[in-house]
Amino acid sequence: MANQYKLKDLGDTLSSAAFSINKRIQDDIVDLTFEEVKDLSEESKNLLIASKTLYELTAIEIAENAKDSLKQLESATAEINKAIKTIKTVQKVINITAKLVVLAGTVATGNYTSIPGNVKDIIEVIGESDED
Amino acid sequence: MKNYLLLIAACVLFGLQGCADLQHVNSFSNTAVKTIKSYDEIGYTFTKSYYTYTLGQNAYQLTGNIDANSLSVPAPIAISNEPQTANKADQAITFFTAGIASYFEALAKLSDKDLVNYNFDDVGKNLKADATLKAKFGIDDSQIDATAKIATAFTNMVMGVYRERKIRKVMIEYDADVSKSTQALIDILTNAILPTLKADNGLIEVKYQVILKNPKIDLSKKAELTNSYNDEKITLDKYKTQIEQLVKALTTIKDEHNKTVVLLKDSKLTAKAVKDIINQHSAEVYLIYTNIKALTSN
Repeated sequence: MANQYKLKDLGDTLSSAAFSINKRIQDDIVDLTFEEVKDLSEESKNLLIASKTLYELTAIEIAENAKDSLKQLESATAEINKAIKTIKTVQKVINITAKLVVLAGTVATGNYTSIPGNVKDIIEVIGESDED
Repeated sequence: MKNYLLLIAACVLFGLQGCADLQHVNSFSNTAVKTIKSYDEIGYTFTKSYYTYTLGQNAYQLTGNIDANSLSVPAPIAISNEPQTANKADQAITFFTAGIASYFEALAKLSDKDLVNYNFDDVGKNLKADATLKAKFGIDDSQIDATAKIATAFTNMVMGVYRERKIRKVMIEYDADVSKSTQALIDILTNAILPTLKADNGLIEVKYQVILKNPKIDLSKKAELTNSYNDEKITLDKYKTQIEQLVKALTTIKDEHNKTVVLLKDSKLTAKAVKDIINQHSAEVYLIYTNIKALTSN
């Protein structure tokens, strides 16, 4: 963790130096020559660009340190999605029950020729995707 | 029989009460998802910063002889390891926004009252259509209707309780990870994105102070460029406000998740206190989210 703060602190130091140079230029812009403004601005620019890279490295470092927690969060999401799937499956069981009632009626009346068709219906309901 | 009906009615009422509380988790989770995803709508990234403000530095540094009208475009700025480092830093943010948003999305889905509305209509319909079966069971159509109605309410209630338990379990078990992941995103925004924005402000100053002092650029052009300077500053200020609002919202989301878990550990999800705290934070996060959106559309 200390690393990310060192990177950020170094970035802040470079950035502060650049802003001090900018302030100097703005305060004395009338007295400074164009060449002086250009040279000082070049220094300021280089410091600011370097600070930006250090801030990018800070972001990468923070992410690296917290990646295990993010992995755990993925497990939590998977667990919730599994629960959602279970809840949807209950409706599937109800649909199968409805088909079973029809099959039971067929058996009760002795209408055996209808049984294969009813069984096919049940297989179709069982086979329906229960994905999200 | 009457006693059984009363018992079932009581269970159904209890179940419906649970569903009402799931709605609050649902509302909060949906707002959390929108808020986290609003980072993409803001549109300020490390990579964009590199192309717009770092490479934009020498936009007016034309080379050649102005008087002889023989100007050349500026030589491109080359920074070692860029934009690869900027891309990698953006990926770090994407991992966290996507990961945290997916968690709240799943939570919103699980607590959605419309996720599944169990119904036994087909069961009842098939039973009513079968005279032999009705005769065997000794039931008539009105009894089938009543049974289907009770079965529907009962199943919804049981699954409502299942959802409550699952939400409670997941929220408690993963609270520390929600907290750490959200804090990491807050840290990246606070310690890396906001300072980069500040550095870009400095780069704009650098660019325009050189232009203002350049004797080869006439006054009317300088006045025109002053407007560009103001526009660039306003854009950066808007990004800053939006990122600060997002940090505030993420802090609230993290705290809300944690406070809810503390209550869940001691009481049921149906507790009024849970409902109140979620409502309060949900409204707060929603307000911040609308602020971010308002600035995005400007």
